[in-house]
Amino acid sequence: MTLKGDSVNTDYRQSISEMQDLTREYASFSQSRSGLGNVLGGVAGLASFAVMWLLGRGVATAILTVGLTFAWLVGKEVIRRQLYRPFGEARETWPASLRRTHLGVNAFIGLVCAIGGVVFAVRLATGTTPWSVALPYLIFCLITPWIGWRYLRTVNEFMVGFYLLFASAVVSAGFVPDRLWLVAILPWYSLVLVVLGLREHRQFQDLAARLRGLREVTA
Amino acid sequence: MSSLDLQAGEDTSPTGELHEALTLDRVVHEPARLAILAVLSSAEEVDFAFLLMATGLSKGNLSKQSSKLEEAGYITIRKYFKGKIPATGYRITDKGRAAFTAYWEHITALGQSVQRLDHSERTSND
Repeated sequence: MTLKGDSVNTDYRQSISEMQDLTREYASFSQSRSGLGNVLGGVAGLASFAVMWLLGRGVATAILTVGLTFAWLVGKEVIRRQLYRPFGEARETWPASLRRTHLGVNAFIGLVCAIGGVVFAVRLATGTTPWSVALPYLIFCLITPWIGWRYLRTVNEFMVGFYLLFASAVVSAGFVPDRLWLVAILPWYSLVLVVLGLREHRQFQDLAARLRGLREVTA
Repeated sequence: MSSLDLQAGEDTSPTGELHEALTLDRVVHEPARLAILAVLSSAEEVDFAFLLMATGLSKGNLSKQSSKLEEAGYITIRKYFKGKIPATGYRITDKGRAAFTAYWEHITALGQSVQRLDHSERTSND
């Protein structure tokens, strides 16, 4: 894909188009595609479901659920940086429509969390709800909008991420979410995330091989 | 920027097409700078390492050509730190994107014109 001369030929135009395609594809792993980060999210979702299902309410369930949630949030960013940037950084251009959707979803989550936060803060202040119950929900209301804005980018990430955060709050308050609800949502989205993540990782491996070839040609 | 759009009713004679070729944006037309713009038009921001790999330019040439694009207002160059390591980020500006798009449309139209001329020459020779 070298550029030699400035003739107006098809190869030349194809080289430029190919260069653009490779850049777009590589940059997509900075935002919309997470590869093994998605697999980690799926595994965290399935594991937290299994923990709640098998252990029921208790400290161990709370620790494991919160731990799995944050292990995923941190792990997917580490994976993104360590695994999907071998040729330097390229940040994906987010179309205005996606930017608006992300903003809209986060604004909605922010509003719900703000209302919930005020309710639990009042309950905590007036002593109507014990702090061991109100505090986890209050923390959930405070951190979820920021986590959603900063770390959750795709619909699947939102589904699993929001659910894991909510489950963390519920189990930390000493409860276990409704199992039927869990059966309906969490395992399915977790499985989707695993399959999607594996497919994206294979796509990245192909892309990396093409970019390595390009580097050898241009070296 | 001095690019022209090929519109209906414009001069499509060989002289007209030569004129079109001569009015190509020279800042974009240089292959190294075109490659830089092509990469930058496909991402929000890229760093020096990626731009170097994607364009296949030497470090010196990349710095020189990107400075020229910055002078023309087609890209912005940002110096920052990744932890303690200095890094450079490159972004295309709206002006640069418009220039690149106009150039691309221009060069595609020109390529088609050359093909048309080539075809008509061959048929007249037959």
